[in-house]
Amino acid sequence: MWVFVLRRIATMLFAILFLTALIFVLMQAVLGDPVVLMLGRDADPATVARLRQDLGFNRPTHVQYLDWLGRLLQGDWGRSFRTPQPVLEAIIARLPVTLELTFLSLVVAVALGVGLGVLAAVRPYTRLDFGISLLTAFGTAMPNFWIAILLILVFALHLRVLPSSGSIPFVEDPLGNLRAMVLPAITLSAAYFSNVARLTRAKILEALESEYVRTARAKGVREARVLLVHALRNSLLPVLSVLGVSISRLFGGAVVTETIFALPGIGILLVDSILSRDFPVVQGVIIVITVGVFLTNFLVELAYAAVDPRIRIG
Amino acid sequence: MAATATTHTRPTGITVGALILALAGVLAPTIAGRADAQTPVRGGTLRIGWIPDAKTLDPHFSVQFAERHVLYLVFNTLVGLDKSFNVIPELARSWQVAPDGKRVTFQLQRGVKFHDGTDFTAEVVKWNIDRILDPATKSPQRSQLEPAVAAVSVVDPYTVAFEMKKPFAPLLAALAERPGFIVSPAAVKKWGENFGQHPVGTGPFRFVDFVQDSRVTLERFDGYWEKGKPYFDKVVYHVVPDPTVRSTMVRTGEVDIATDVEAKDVPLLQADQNLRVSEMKPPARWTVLQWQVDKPPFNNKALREAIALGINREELKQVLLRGFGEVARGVATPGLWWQDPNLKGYGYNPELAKKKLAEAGYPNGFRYKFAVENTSQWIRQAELLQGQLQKINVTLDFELVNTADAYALIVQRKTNWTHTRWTQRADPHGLFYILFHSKGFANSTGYSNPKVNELLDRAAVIYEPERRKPLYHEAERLIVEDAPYVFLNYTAEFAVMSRKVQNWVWVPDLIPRFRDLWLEK
Repeated sequence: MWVFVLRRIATMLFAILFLTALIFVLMQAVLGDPVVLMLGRDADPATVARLRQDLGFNRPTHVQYLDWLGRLLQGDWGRSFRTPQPVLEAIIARLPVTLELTFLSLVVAVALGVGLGVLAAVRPYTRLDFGISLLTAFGTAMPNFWIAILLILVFALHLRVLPSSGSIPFVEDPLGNLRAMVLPAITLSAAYFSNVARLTRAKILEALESEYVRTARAKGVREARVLLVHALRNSLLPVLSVLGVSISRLFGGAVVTETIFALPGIGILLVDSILSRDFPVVQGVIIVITVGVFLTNFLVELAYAAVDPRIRIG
Repeated sequence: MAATATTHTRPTGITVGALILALAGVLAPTIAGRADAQTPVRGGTLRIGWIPDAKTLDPHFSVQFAERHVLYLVFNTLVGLDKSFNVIPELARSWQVAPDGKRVTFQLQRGVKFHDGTDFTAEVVKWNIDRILDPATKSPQRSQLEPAVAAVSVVDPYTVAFEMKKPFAPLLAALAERPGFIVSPAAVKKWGENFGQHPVGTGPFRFVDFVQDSRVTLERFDGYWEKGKPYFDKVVYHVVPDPTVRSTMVRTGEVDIATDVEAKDVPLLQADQNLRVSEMKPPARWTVLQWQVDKPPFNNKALREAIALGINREELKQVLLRGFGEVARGVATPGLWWQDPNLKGYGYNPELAKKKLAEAGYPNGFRYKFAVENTSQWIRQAELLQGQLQKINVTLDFELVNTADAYALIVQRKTNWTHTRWTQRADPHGLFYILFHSKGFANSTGYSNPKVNELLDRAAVIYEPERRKPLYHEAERLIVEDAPYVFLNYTAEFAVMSRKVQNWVWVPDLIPRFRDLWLEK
């Protein structure tokens, strides 16, 4: 077990090092320096030159990178070029929003996905099944910015039951916070609950045909128990692996969702920082996301072991 | 160049309030285009659908438009601007220009306090200007003062003098914009690099909080020096990056007002009984094509003329701006005191364009790379231009560039042919000099016309608008003819608000002055 954990951590550190170096080189090679952006259209060349020198952009790329890495190892994440907020502070301020959004989306994806999947499997090839198939086909096919706009039109503009945009800190107004999160969470989870529902339906149908279900039914086990204990538990394994992959993709989807709903999360921070060449923030966010994805994958692997007795970690 | 002494004063004391109220009563109907003159209502919260990208609320470092939406509420400028870009008193209640034009003396308002309780004095003004001028500060605002301001001296606690390297008429307008915002020296010392997240000014509203990419909250400053103002108890800016969502939030009542609304959404908003849509009239921002006139192939004037004549600006306006805005003729937008009403600009004449193209040495057509900003709006414009110019046998090969990089590529002269846009500055020198003088720091076209240089240099040292005007008219004619830029459209800008929002006025710098608004009960 410990060997497994240590190996994972080593891989993660290596990935962070590789990613930050890659991002650094790409940002410098493909795109310009951030000084013109930082100073805008009114700055004179003398000020531009001075800022460029003070930020160390005149030095070779690898020197700049090693300098950044050295500071990081001493616990100094640096300051944003733009705001100029300390990087760690900027990330910590945004992280709760993104974590809440991805967590709620995951809950919606699992609850709706498994629920709809089971319903469809229980009544296969009926109108209900057909309706669910149609819904999940839409969920998978429609881009999430389009779903977001439809949801805003219906729930915010016509029904006026939910806010169209913005976020309220949970500590200030828990109910308001959750209300503001409903539409973004549904938007972000649309593709995932659809996948989960289709997969759950297929796996349960498969399980219901299997010999152990036939045996259970033959023993006189009640149908609900057959379905929820025997069939569902075995069907969840592939669903779990889909969810594991989804979590890292949810981070990606969060970027679009946060932008449309004006949620001040880490997705917007990353995009803004890349666009304005805010290198310290980009690197900081990359580290946080990498650690996050590794941790969730790790947890998924542990969960795997819990659900499937054939898998042992160690 | 000598300038005659000019004086601007404003009465002080209790009469001011009465005067303002009386004036507001008289002017309100004409300004807002409404017939019901009302007394402002105090109280309530103004909720604003705010454009994104604010990074700092330190005016001396402000670059983004969004930031200025807030700055005018938290801070005062030394002098103010009215809706025709005339300079009016603000923290300075009067000023005089010395006969040689090299000293400008300001008399300051008395009894003005910062939100942190410190006093606003001549010392403070000097400290602020010194902060901008110090190269170590690296303020982007330095470019507007450094060419002309030698030093600022304190005459007495409420009188401050700007010693000039040369007479410099644009000084006053600059002091009404970002270089003129007065920050609390005590607060800058206290917060250091974090002042931009904890701004302290003398403005009508006190800063409460700033959550990056989410919101800014302000509340009424009870010690504000303009008696009776401001009207709101609280102002909240909600960041809403998507323009359609922004205007939707005004429709749902989640916010009271939103700016930077897209032309395509305007008809729908106008149909809503509860809303008022305000179009900036006359428009104050323009779009252009630009190229490098000191390098082949665009050092060929006939080629530039051919392209300028081959563009159907009316069609651009109808398609891109849904008929709003105006066809552009030159540098100055309509309604500004330096605009030349007789300037014609290039018309649409495809036949002449083809002749010019042949004259330029391209009888079989011309083909070149054209850098396009990668947003739907700019791509739509580029596609239309491509279609129009194809008719005179000019082919545009698109090269998409990231919006964030577009201006850096232009100013570092890495793109030869592209499009861009600029917004009016409060003084003609602002755009004319930086874009078209051969020493202008934003002159990215390589344009250099000694006659234009001379006219712009002369105009900058004259303080009277009436005497400057003909010089700018002449320079503008030469610039339009030489075509370092091809002017396309004066674009339309819109704000949408609930009918309860009163006293909305556009200033041609397009920065909303939320501080004067009030909400009908």
